[in-house]
Amino acid sequence: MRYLAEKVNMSVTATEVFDFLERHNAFTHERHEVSSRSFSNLRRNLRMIIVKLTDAEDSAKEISDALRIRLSEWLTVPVHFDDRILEPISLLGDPRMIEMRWGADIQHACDSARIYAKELQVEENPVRTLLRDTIRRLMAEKKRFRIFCHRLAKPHFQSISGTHLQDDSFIHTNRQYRDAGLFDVLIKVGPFRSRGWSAAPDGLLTSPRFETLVQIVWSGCGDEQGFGLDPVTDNSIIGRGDAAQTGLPGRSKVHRLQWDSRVERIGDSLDFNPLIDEDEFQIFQRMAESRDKRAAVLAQIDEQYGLLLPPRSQVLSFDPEATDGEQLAHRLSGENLIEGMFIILPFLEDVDTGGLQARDGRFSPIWKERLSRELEKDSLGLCRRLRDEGINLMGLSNRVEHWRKPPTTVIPAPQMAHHFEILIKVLGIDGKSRELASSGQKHWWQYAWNEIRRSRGEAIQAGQHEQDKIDLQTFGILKSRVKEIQIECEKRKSFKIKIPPGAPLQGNFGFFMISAIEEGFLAPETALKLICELSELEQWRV
Amino acid sequence: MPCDSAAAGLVTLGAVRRSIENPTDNDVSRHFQRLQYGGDRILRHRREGKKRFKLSKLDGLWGQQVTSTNKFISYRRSISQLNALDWYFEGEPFIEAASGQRLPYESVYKGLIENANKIIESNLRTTYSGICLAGRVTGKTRTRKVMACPTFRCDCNCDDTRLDLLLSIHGWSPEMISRASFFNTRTKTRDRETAPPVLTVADGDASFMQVVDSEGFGGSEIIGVLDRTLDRSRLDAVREKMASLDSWYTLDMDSLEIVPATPKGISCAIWRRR
Repeated sequence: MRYLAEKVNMSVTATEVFDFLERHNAFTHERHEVSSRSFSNLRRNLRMIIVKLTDAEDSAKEISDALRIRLSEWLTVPVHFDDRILEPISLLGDPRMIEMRWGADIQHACDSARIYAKELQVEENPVRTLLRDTIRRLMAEKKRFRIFCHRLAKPHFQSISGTHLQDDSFIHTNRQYRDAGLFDVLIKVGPFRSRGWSAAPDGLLTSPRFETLVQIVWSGCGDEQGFGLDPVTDNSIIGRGDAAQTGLPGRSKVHRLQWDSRVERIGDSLDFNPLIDEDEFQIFQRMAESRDKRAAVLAQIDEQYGLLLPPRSQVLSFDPEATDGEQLAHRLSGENLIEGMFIILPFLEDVDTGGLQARDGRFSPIWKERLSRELEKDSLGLCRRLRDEGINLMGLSNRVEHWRKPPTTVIPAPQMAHHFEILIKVLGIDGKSRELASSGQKHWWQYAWNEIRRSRGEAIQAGQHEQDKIDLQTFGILKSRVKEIQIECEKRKSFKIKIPPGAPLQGNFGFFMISAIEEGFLAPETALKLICELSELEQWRV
Repeated sequence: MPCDSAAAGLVTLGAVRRSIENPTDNDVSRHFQRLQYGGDRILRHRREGKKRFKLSKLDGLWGQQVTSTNKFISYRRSISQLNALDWYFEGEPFIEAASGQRLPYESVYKGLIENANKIIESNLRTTYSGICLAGRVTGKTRTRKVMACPTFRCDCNCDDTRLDLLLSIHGWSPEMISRASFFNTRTKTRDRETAPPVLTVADGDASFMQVVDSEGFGGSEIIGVLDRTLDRSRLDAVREKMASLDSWYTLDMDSLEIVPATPKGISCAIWRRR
């Protein structure tokens, strides 16, 4: 009797994985700790600013968040140390006003950060240098290698000259790792963390599909304790128990995977005080935990957009691969809601206005056209007027440029109602049009704002009871159209289905195929279940 | 497990193979009793195609007569210990195969386990619900897709046989008897309403945790087959679940001693009730 290897929807069979593990007595972990005196000093000053501003007023918190995101990126992505490294510092405003607005210590940290940022631009980021050398060596040795990184980090790797990295050299998700097959070397920049920045699957260490792991980290960035978790034995590769074994012997029957670790320290600050490089991720984690936020998972719905869902929340979804009668169901985010399924969002017309209904695509062309005209006439002047009226957003000119873009998955617009109201007022289209005035209900901007909210999948109706009712009605309407939905799912990754006239709800149902699910977000309740740009959602990554 | 696999199906197959050699592993003896407690469920007769019958009470007892549900002609039939095996609950497998039918792939079952005991011929003609495969949380179709991948080849030049067919889950193979029941973790339903299984094999973390928490599996031995390449939140959920069981269960080192050495990448722990 022979058992023949299975191929379960993936490029590698379970038998091949077992054979691969069996062939290796030990796996190699090369850890390269990079240090730079200038970068260490820059980090120290930015850390100070971030921590001080995090509990301050709203605009300060926004700056703190922006600096935190940028610093986290520098620590986990091989960025260019060029002029852009000074951008976050400029967020603090006019250098002459910093002391008056934020205090002397922030002023001092800011001045120092500027000096070290300039110093850094003299030479190439040592992480990029090390990566180039490593990749070239692997190419010369004809080794099959992959790079594990966040999908937004890929362009930074590809910009390293002389490496010619193709898309198939990258792994961004746990699922891609499972499907990647077997190879020789995995490259990872940044510490091993289970969630948030530099997140990676525990399986990299507990179920290696490669012989050698090359990890490049900035000094001070420690791997997360408990990473490489074996839930059955409650042991891990990093931290608890024996550092180089999977599983606690004695408690369970385990065939250990042996990791041989080598640490190499490189850089210009080897004789420098190592205490200067603290672990920013631990500091930021503590900061995030103290805020009033809840854990969330990101469901990415195309290249640009995604939405955050509370873990284990019931999400109405459609699985084109399920059996008849089971395609349409409420599934649990983070559990059985997976890539390839479609999230269903109702885009409903107002049920509570009592007056004129705001149909989609009615208001946005008007204000976008006016915005484009104003931008072409005097973009600087427009931004100044918006600031004067109270929109204190960083990178305002870029944001306004984004708002003028035509609707795609959502209607690009300000995130806050208050900012949108100001925008409409500055554009001079506030007040009630004759048609709306006759309904006697709301201002023009309010109808336009509802149109934006609907495009983001936000429920206009208030109250849980109404929401539950809508949910039931949605289910009832869609149940009778499963075949039609199935056909659409085979053709497109996102589409809308119009609710037929006479149904208890009016509007559309949007279907969005989930392209990736990612954990590691802490977000306020108001940021959940709304379609947003991925870059917008980065602020909630921990 | 170091990867996603059909391992839960293979474990179930091992249990199915063992059950075929055990003369008491079938649903025959308990069937008449089930009919008596069947309430007003729909029954079918194994030789009468699509005809549907409703259990009705006789002298205050269920399970002794059925009434045809045909709206044009209504008639009654009586059920006794002698003919009980002709009747089966709608949506469930036959209790005993119709005359001349039996579970195929005998040569595969025979060659599956080295030095195994002999197969009991009558077991190849009867249903057994004591073994249960709790499928993936993504549903029955996706579970079957995974189970359809591994194949077995025996030395007798017959065609390769797929794992999903060997498991004889009701609805996965054309055979009308089934040696393993199926629990759909997504819909939280079992494919037959029999007593709790003796052994349940859970395919995946969500399935495992649902089975552990479910009263419907009280008294069943549970084997959870988990892939260690899961996302962290799911690994954490499993770890927390195992920790929460500490009050009622203890690690069973004696049983662990009997388990042969595991291949690299697999870890195995056994808990037993305190």
